[in-house]
Amino acid sequence: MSGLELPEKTKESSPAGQSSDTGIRPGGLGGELAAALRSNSGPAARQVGMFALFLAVGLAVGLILAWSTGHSPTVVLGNLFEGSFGNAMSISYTLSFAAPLLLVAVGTVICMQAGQFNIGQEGQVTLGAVGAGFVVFNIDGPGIVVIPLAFVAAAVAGGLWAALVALLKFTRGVNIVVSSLLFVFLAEQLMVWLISGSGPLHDDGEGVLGAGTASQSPTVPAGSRLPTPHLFGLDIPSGFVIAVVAAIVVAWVLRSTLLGYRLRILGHSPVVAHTIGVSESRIGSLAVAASGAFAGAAGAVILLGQSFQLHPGTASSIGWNGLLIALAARTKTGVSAVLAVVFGAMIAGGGLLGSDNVPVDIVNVMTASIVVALLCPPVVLVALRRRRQRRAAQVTA
Amino acid sequence: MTMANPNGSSMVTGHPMLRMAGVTKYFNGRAACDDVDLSVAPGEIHGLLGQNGAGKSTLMNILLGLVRPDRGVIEVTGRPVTVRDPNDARAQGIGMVHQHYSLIPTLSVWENIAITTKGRVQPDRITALVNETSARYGLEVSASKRVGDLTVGEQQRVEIVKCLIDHPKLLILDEPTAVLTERESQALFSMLAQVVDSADCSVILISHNLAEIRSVAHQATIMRNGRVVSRLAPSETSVAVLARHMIGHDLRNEPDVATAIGADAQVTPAPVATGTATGKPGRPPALEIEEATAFLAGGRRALDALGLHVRGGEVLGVAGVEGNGQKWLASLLSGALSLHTGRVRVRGTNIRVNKPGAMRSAGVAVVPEDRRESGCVLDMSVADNIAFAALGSLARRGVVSRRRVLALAERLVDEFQIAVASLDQPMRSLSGGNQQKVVLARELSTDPSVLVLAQPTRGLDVGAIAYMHERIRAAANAGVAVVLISTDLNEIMQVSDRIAVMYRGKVRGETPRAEADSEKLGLLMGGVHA
Repeated sequence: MSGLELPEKTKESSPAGQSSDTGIRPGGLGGELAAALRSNSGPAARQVGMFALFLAVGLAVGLILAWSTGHSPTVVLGNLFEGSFGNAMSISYTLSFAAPLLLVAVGTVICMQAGQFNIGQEGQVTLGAVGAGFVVFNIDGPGIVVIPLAFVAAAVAGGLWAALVALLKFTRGVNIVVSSLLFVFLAEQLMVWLISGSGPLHDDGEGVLGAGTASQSPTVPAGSRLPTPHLFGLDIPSGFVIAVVAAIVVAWVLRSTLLGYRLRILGHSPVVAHTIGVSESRIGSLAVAASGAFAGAAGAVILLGQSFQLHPGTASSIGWNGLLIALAARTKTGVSAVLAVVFGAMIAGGGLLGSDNVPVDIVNVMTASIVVALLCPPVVLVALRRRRQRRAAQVTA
Repeated sequence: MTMANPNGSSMVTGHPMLRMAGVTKYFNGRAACDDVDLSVAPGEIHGLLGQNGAGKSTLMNILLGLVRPDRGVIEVTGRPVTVRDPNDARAQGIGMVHQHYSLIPTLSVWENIAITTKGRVQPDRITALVNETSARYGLEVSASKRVGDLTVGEQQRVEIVKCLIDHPKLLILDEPTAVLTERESQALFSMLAQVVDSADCSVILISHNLAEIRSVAHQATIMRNGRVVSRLAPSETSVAVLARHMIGHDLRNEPDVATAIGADAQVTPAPVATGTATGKPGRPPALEIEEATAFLAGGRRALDALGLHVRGGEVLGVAGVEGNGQKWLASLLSGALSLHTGRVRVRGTNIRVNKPGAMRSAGVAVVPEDRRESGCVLDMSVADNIAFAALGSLARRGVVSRRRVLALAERLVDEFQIAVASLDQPMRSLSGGNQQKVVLARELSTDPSVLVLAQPTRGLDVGAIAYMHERIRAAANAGVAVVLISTDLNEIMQVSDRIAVMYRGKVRGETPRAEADSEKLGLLMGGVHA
C-alpha cells in the first residue's frame, strides 16, 4: 500500500493554516462542516495525521475480518500488495482499473463544483460504452480513426443522457438527485435491450462470457482496442494516460478560465452567480452534460480497454465508485487521481486474493474503510475544535 | 372603527392582567431593554409602538421565555412568574401570534393545532375544539383544510385559534395587519373586541400603523432605544403626537458626516449641481422604477405599484419600518425578483429585470443586505471575490489572468483600506466590516451609474460606519445615483439628499432631507399620508 503513504510526506512541508482555526465561524455546525469539507486551508498537518490514523484503523478492520474468517492477515496484505504494486504487470493492472474511475471522478468534480448533484454516472458510463460500441462494431478502419471516433460517440452518448436530467431539472424542476439516479436503471435496461436477441448490437458468437449468452455484443476487433505502450519498463494502459490528461485539463479549466470561475461561483452561490450574469440553467446544464461526457468516455475506456464486449455488467459499478471517489476527494481533481489509483490497486489486488480463495468481500470492506477514513478527518477535526472552544468558553465564563 | 372602549380599564378589580417592572436586558453591553415598565389591564387592548430596534421584540421575547432578562419582574394577575420557555408561557396563559406564522403547510388545520397539544392525539376532540372556538369569535376556520391551501388571512385566523383554544389571559399580536386587506383587518379588530369583551383576556397589539393603534388600542406604550418614552391613551391624542413620540426629537438633521470627516463641505444642497452631465435636468434620471408590482410565492405582495427615481449625484434614502418591502426593492435592483407589472429604467433604457446579469451590465451595482449569502462567496479568496464583477475584462480568450486579478485586488484593497493578511485568504476569515468593504470596493470598481446599498452599516462598528458613509457621499459626488435603503433613520438623515418612505410595498411619501422631521417621517412610516 505504498501509494497511501504519499500524503505523509507533505506533513512537514505544508504550513498549518493560519486563519481558519481562530474564532468560531458563524453558520452553525453544518456551515462549518461544509466549509471544512470544501476548503484546503485547514490545519494540514493534523488532517494528514488524522487521515493516516483512520487509514490504519480501516486496514485493521479488514485484516481482523480476514483473520476471524480463517485467513492469515499477512497473506491477505501480501497478496493485496503483490497484486497491485508487486511487479510491472500488477502496476499495469492497477492503472488500467484506475483509468475509468478517474475519468468518472473528473466529470463528477465538474458537476459538483457547479453545485449540480448528478449521481447518475453509472448510467452515463453504460451509455458511453454503448455509444463506443456502435462505432467499433459498425465501422471498419484503422484504430487511429476508429478509437477517437468511439470516444467521441461515447462522450456524446453519456453527455446527452446526462443532459436529459439537466433538461428535466431546469424546465420542469425535477430534483436532479432523483432523476439522475433513476436514469441509471433506464440506461441499464436500454443497453440490455440493445444487446439482447433482437437488439442491433446483439451477437450470437462466442463471447468473453462463453458461447450463446443471451445478452451480449460482438467482441471489439483487435485493431480497435486501446493500445498499451511500453514505457519506463511498464505497460502503461493508454486509458490511464487519457484519464490523467483529462484530469489535468479539467483542473486547469476550473481554476483558471472564465468558464471555470463562473462554474465555481454558481456552485458556491447561485445568488451571486445570477447577479454577475451566470445563468444557472445554461452553465448548470453544461456542467451536468460535461460530467456525463466524461462518464461516457470512461465507458469507452472500459469497452476498448478491459471488457472488449458489452454485457449486462459492463459498467461494473465504475460509475458508482467514480462518484464516490470524487466525493471522498472533496471534489478535488488531484486527490481524485490519487484515490482512483488506490481504488484501482484494491481491485487489482483483490483479484489476486480471489485466486487464493479469500472472499473479495474482505477487500470491499477494506476499500470501504479507506473511504470512511477519507471522510472522517474533517468531521473529527471540526468536532474537536468545537469541544476546545466550549472548554475555553467555560474557563472564561 | 367601533371600539373606543374607555371603560375597558374601569373593570379593573385589583391587579393588572400583566405587569412588567424594571425589565432590563443587555446584549453585548448595549441595553435592548432598559428599565421597562409595562402594565396591561384586564380586558384592555394595549398598543406597543416603536421603531425597529426600540426593544419591542426583546420585551416580548422575555415575556415568552425566549430571552432571560437581566433584571426585572413579570406578574400575571398579580402573581410573580418566571417564564422559562414558550411552553411555560402558554401554561401561564400567554399566547402570541408571530408576524411569521409557525404553521406546517402540508398538514391540515386541526393537525397543526394538535402538534402543540400534549398527550394522545384525538382528532374528533381537537376538531370540535377548533370549531367551537372559531364559532365563538366568528373566525371562519375549517378544521380539515390543508394549511397550504389557505390565504394568508385564513392562516392568521388559524394561528389565533391556536392561541385562543388555551383560553389565554394575554394574547400578543405582532404586526397582525401587515399582510391583511382592509376588510380582513376590520374583521380582525372586531374579533379582538370580542376577545377582550369579558375582561378575562387582554391583548397586546404590536404595530407601527399609527391610525390603527389610535382607533383600536385603549392604552399604548411607546418605546424608543430600549426605553419607554411615553404611556398614553391613543384615542385622546393625534397620530402626529404618536409619530413624534415614536421617532423622538433626537433626529440629527445635519449632514454631519461630511463635515466630521472633512470630506466635502458643500454636499448639502443640490442633487444636481455636481457638474457631471448625468445630473443635468432634462436628461432622464439614472434610475426610474415605475408601478413595480411583484408577488411572492403564496400570493403575498412584495412590491405594490412602487415608483421612485434617482438622479446622478443624488443620494435617495429609502426609510421605513423593516418588512415593508425594502428587501424586495433591493432584490429587484440586483435582478433577483421578477416583476408582475411595472418597469425599471436605467438612464432611460428599459431593463429586462430578471435576466441574469442584466442589472449589472446596465450599470446598477448592489451592496446587498445579506452580504454573506448574496454579496460574496465565503469559501473563495478575497482576490476572487473582488474580481467577480469584472471577470470578463480580466480574461483574455476565456482565460482569467491571475496577474490581473491580483493587481486589481491589490489596488482596491489598498484604496479601500481593507485589512487582509493575504489576497488568497478565504473571504470567510475576514471581519464583517472588511467583508463589507470588499463588496463595496468590487461594486464601485465597475464604475456604476447606480449604486444600491441595503442596510450597509448593519452590524458594523463605529469606524466602519463612518467610512461607509464617507464612501457613499464620495460616490454621489462623483455623479453616481445612490439608493440607500436603511431602517436607521439617523443614517438616512445623515447621508441622504432626499428621503422616500416605504410602507407595505410602496413609496408612501417623499421629502427633501431639509424638510424632513420626526413627525413627518413617523407619519409616513406609520402609513399615514403626511
